[in-house]
Amino acid sequence: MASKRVAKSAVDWASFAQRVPPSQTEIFRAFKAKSESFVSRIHQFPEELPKIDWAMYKSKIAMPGIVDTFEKAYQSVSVPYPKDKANTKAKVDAEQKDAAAVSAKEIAKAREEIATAQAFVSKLQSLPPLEEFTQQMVADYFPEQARNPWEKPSIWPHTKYNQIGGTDSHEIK
Amino acid sequence: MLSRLALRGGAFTPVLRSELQKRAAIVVVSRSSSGTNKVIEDWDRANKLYYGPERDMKNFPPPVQSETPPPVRMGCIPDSWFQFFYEKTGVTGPYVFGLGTLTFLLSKEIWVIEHGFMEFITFWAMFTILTKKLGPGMAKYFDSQTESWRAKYWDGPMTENKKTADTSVAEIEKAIWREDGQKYLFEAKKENVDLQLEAIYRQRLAEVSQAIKSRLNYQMDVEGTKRRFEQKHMVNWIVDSVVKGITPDQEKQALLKCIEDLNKLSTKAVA
Repeated sequence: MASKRVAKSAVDWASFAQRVPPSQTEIFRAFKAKSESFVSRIHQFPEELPKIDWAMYKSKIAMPGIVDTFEKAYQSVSVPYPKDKANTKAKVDAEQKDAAAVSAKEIAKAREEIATAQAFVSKLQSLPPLEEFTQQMVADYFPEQARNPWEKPSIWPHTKYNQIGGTDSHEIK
Repeated sequence: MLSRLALRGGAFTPVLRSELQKRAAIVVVSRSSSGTNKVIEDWDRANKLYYGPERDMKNFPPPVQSETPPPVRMGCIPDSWFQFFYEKTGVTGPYVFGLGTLTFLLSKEIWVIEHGFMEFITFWAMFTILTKKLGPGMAKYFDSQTESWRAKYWDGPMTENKKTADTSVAEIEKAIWREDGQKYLFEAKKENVDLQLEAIYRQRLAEVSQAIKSRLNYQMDVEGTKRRFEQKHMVNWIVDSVVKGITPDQEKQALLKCIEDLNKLSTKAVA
């Protein structure tokens, strides 16, 4: 009995469930059911060595000494606690470390995205008011949308559909 | 078996990972991150160009097209002309100047009133009437056109972009928060290993006690069966001995006694 004994799940399943993305609820449910089945299997058996009614046996069995021998042996029996032979916990730890590394990378990437989005929003505020825009300013602020016949000449009629690669015949602009 | 079971939950990890990747991909509407960065760069450059420190905002303010024409008096004469006269001639100056000029033009016959003069009056009368009648409606129509254009191409995209950026920020924040779930996942996995070990231990305990009990029960049954056989044998033996002890003479006497009894009974019955 070297390692700690557990009889019920100490994991905060409620907070776990909250953090599961909606697309993975099925997997989560299966995982939780599996864990619960382990707990229920534990409760099929008694926690300690079950007591035997020695007095009853003593009164019923005539053969001398047999019950005493069994009683003594039963009291001194030591059941070995099973060992994690495949070292599964270490494997889980390694897996956790890998996942944490990947997760940290993803989180850093996500934070970058957040910073970009926030910078974009603040830049939206810095645009001059619409009344001040001139054609020249449009060309400088929105070079992609502005007409630029020197670098990107277009074909008559100058609709998107009639340009090379235009696909949508209903598109007007 | 333990390892397989514990690692089976491992299907979780890649999915959790891909979830965040998927989230990150839809950031900022249809733009990719690099696209957004380019837009920001463009705007920074343009802002510096038009509103940078070199721009003389005092002498060359940004040209703004006014929404309405400058104010007028008497329907068509600009108010600024009256202001020009006010400093030099007072309030009546512009009127005196206007009437004087008109009198001068008429008296010197520079402006000749001839047969075509009626056209002048009718033209301007019609012009005024039409302006008064149709003007407000047309102004309203064009205003609404401008408003809808503005909403479609400027205000709408502005709020939409802002909203999309905000929602994607919120979503990414949530996805980052969800990454915490991995902590619970691995905790649960490790606990599952412990739970299984505990289950096996308890099973072993139960097996030990079951084995002892079955041996004792066996012993009990063996002794019980033996006793039952002994008893049965003893009873049979005694019965057999008693039956053997009965002689033919005794049997005959018993038979005679029976007949005698029967006779007595029959006489009694007849009487």
